[in-house]
Amino acid sequence: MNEKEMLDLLGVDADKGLKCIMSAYSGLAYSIAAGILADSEDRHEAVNDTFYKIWKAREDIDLSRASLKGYIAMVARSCSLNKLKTLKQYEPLPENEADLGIDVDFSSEDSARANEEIIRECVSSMPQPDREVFISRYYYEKPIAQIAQELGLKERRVEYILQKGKRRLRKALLKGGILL
Amino acid sequence: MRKINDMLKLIPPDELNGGITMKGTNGTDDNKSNISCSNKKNTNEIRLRRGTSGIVAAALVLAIGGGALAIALNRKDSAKTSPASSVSAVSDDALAEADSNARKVYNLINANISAYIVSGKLKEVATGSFKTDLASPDSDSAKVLTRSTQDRFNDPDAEKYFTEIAGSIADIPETGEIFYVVNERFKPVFVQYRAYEGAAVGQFSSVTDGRTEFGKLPETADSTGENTAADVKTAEHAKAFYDIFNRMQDDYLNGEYPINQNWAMLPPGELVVLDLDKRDRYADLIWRMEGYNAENVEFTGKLFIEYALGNDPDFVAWQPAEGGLIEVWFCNDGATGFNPGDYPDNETAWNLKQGSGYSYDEADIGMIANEMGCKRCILGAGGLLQGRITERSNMPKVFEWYESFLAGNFEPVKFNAKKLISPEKLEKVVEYNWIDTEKKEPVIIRTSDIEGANIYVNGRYYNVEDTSVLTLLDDGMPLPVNNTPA
Repeated sequence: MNEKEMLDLLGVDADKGLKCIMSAYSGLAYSIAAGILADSEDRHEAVNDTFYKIWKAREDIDLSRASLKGYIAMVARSCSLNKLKTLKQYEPLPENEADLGIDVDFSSEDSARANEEIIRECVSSMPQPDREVFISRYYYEKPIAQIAQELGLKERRVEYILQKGKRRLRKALLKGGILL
Repeated sequence: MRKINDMLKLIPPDELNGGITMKGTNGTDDNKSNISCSNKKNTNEIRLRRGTSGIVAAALVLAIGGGALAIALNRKDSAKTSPASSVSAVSDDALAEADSNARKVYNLINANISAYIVSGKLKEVATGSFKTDLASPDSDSAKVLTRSTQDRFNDPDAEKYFTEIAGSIADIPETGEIFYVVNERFKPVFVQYRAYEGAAVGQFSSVTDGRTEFGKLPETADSTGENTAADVKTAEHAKAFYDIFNRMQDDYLNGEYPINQNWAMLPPGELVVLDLDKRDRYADLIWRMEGYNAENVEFTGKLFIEYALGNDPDFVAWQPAEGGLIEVWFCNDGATGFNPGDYPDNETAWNLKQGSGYSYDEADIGMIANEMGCKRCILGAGGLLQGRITERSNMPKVFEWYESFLAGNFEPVKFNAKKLISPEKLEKVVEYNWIDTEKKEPVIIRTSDIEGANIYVNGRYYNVEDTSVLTLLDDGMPLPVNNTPA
């Protein structure tokens, strides 16, 4: 069953549709939640919230803008970070740290897709442990100290890797991306 | 302006990660992810998955698994024909010719890899085992089977090594199948050649004398292969330089008597290329490095160093003076255990090798400059580190002094280790460091620690009239509350 069929099924039979979508993507949602939340119960809650929100927004999901998988990943991340906030364990990224100093265009579908592809390619081609550090920081929004501990690196090294990754991403977007 | 986290959230993490789940997110009880995880040592699998979605990757893995199963079944069916018997079934002449062709292909692969290494483009070389067709090689293999350096390199050494090692290009077969192994130190260690399926399987190997059927790794060596004693020695030599810089860095940050930061202050324009054979030019640095030479390695050849300012050296590449390949030691602090091949990011060193100085662009320089601040290291009596402070109010005066110093175009005083004043005897040491964002150069101004010079600027000692910059701290500058470096 493809994503459109899953979404259609969700529209006509919530129970079957949700079961089908969860069977395909609960693993993805759990893996995202596990990257953000330490406690198993919290993860369950975040994943439940995720699929509840997907069900609630079923009529607004536009597969021409993003895949169902992409929506679920985005919502799972958001629910997990929200859960972290309610637990008062969330450390927001410093204002300037996540700024690349360029205006990347996500206003139209085409430019968003093109830029997403560049980001995907750039990050996935980073060597290890740079890639893991970069995703941990900017996708899972983990604190630098935690990343350093998990990967057995010095904090200064993690900071350096992040700087290097940002340079690389900035360069890739300046070279091939669509900017405002 | 969109932040990086805002942009990344639009992409599922497995796609960012080339189809691999993050460390720590797999294997949990509640994680029934349909995305598979692979061992990072299995570099071929990782490479295969890059740029593909997790689902496509999973499909690929299944397809590969299925293929392996099919091969296994096929092997079972044909078990009555043993590899040994098929080898012995071919004529000696055919085997000798196939062996010769395997050797030629080996030379070609070795020549290409050597050119990549010499050019600092090592990350373009794939390691592992590969089976491919000479007439239409896959993309990874094509890079090591190209018959000329073409426009891939901008280094006369690359051409030189390629030509010397490849031999007569015309003699290398253009068709046929090959199976070859490039180990993690980027050495080709095993090559098999056959003109067509069923033809004699020629072999050239530095890891085994035994023969195997085509496409099968020898039992005596896995895909990593074994380095020769000479390989290990040169690799250890390169590693020693990396360790020396690490020790110096550690001492600079944490030592009781912090060393002069010369190791990070190679002359502008050649910032991270250190020619160890120019002993006069780099006398100060080499003298200090020798103090950390626990391995007692010979200081010769050229070092290419990438490091983050004020940070650990990222990696050190060494080109022995007598020629040969640049031996590279990638950053590996032991704790993470990643392999040399996992971290071939020497593009920066390549840029630096070209004399471009820092490869960072303007924004990065600005960012680093901002991070570095205008720190003053305050060393008390005996050269003991009292602390570092970042206080900018007096820095315009420092900048002004520095500009007039540059305008003076002073001749440096030649370094003489015999005139060095030991840290214990230095009464006070003041140090400023920041980044000159216009010139993209780090700047260090420091109290001289040799007799006959009264100030140290950017890796050189000088004797100048105006040393007022070193007394700025005397005017009621706050001292850190403890002795810990800030």
